[in-house]
Amino acid sequence: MNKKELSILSLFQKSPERELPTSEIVKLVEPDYSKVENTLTSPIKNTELIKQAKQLNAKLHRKILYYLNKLSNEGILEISREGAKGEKYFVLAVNPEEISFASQVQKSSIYVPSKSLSVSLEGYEKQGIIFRLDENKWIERINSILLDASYFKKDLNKLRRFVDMCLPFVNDVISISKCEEFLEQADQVFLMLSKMHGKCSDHDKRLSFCVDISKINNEKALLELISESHKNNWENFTMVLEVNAKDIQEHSVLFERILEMYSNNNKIIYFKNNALTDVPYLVGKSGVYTFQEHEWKDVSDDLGNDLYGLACSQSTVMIDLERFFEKMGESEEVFIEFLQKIASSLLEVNSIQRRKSEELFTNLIKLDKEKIKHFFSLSKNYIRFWNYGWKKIDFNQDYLTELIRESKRQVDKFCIFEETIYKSCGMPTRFRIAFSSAFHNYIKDKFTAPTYIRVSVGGLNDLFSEKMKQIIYIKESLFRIFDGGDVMSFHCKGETKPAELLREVSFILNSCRINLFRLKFIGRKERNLNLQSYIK
Amino acid sequence: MIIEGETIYGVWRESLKHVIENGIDFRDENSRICREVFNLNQVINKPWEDTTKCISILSRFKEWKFPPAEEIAAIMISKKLAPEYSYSYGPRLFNFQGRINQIDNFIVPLLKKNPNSRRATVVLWDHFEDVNPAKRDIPSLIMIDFKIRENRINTSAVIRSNDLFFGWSANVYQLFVLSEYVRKEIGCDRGLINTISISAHLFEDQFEFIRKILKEK
Repeated sequence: MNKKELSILSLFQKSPERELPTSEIVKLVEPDYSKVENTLTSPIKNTELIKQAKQLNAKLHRKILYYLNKLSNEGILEISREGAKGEKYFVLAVNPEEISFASQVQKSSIYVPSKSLSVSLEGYEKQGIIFRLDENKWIERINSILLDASYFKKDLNKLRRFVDMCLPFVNDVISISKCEEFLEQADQVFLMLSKMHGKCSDHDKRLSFCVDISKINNEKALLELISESHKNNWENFTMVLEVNAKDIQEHSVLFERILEMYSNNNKIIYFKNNALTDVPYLVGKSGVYTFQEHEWKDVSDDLGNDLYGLACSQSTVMIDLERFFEKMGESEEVFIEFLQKIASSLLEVNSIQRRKSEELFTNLIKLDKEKIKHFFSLSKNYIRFWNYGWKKIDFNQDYLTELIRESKRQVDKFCIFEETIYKSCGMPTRFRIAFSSAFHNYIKDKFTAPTYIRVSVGGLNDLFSEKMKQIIYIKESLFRIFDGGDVMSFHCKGETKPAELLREVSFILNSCRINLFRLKFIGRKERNLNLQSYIK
Repeated sequence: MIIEGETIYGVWRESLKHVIENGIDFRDENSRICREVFNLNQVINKPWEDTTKCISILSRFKEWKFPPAEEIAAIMISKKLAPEYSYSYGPRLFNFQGRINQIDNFIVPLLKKNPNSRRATVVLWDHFEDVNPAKRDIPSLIMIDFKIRENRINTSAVIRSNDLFFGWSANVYQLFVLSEYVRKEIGCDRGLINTISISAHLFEDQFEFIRKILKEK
């Protein structure tokens, strides 16, 4: 369907009930008609110009009539009557909603709405209540991708090519699971990793490595890799050590050495408890990402090592709860309504990503055209909370936990409805929203200052304290609600010996239902008065 | 059971009422309570009237966001499979297994040559793709048939599993869109649409909204 036909149809779309005469349609859709009008209404009468104007008018009428007749023949318009001098009048022959469809039949193109996505969220954004991850590119890019090292069969060059190709489509993190498989080729790993990290830094993205300690057979290479990353100050590189308490026992020398390196270099070390979960955790700039346990199992069983990777998250909205409660009050109803608006916007973004995926993610599709539909099979969206008050003095923790739990129920219900709708309309697609927390570094310029209480603990004994038990209990319950993954941070201070740190790690692995935790050694030396940790 | 009416909306209302009153409850594989009747036959004599009324009604609720009619239609006529869909109707009709255009290369020439043909049937079920117990999403709309009688195109469809509340009116609109496509190619008049839903069902969490719709005049 050409532009002229679309212009004509847009007149009827604006006023579906109207009957329009040919002359009015000419006037409204033909820019050249103004020349005719100017000449014919001009006080200066020039016979030659009037003649030319009448000729132009007739030409424009013929042109528009051609398109009007064409649309009538196609059953989109209908001639309602003939007026004076035989002028034809037209009305719509289809429902107004069908106009777009009619134009699509001609074009065989995919419908994309033009409505601005941020309309319903703009007000909240202006007030600093919410923040969209990579707001300018939040349709064009997805948040996080997990690549499976075993797919690449130790071909590091291939892996690097895939990382390079994925980078333009990601706005937070590319994570690589089962990296222990690469560690056998120590020299190449450093080189490749260095290149990959360089590329990720250029794009301001994170590169996250998951290493299963129980499967490692080159401890030296792991230590060298950590050393290299510290020496070269790879700010955008994160390693997640996947362990359980038994691994800690069996590789105690290795772990003491690792902890010493992280401690000496004031870095952050991540541990994933393999006894609690098989699912990989991706550490991004804005927070952590993960998959649902049962879904992960299904996909792993079904696809094995045949799939190069999976999209983990598509779009993220972050919420400053402190500012929300301050500006909007603490009503549950208002909060849930607000989350529904966010869910609705996320749905819209996903919908556009789906429809435009061929052009948006061309290179991703090229990586493996056959498997691309599996690539999005576990993807979801994130709502990340900031300053959600769980460590504030005098804060009613039960109220907050229940509020988040109830809002999660409502958001899940919305997602189930959407999946049912899309499935029943013959376009089965996935739409899920996960909850998680936001990292301070990412939102510090946008949201309210952190309102944490620093919990002082001194070594292993403090992990046994009543206060710590309470905090861990609350965090465990939040872990259950934050289905998008969460992390508990232990900020270590003082000159704790590696053996003591290792006992702390063992205790957490053995006693807490916390899937992912990190020890932060940053700023340890400045506050070296007590052996204390604080929990963020 | 046959429910027949002039418009999609009229038949929809009657069908919702029928399943609410006569359906039998069971719990499906996702633990949702489902109310079902078997082999519901719905006939719409004038599907071109108020074609998108049900979609407009479903779009009014704030508890969900219903896709616009344009998107619902596009899925039926778009030959390309968007990577995020595990399947969609358009590619199955116009590019089955990447090899067969069932509409342009079979239905249209067949009916042009022999308008009274009884063979104008297309299938959306793909044995190679769908016969897999591990597969989560498989088409519900299984077969579509076109019969031209008295110069009118009549479209029949078999739907193996039909969510009457969210899905059926969209499916009928899609069938209308497809029949319009075929009709324009052949040059005949509009006819009825007939759907046979082997499992016509509603979910318990939809009941409150269905009751609201049934209360409206």
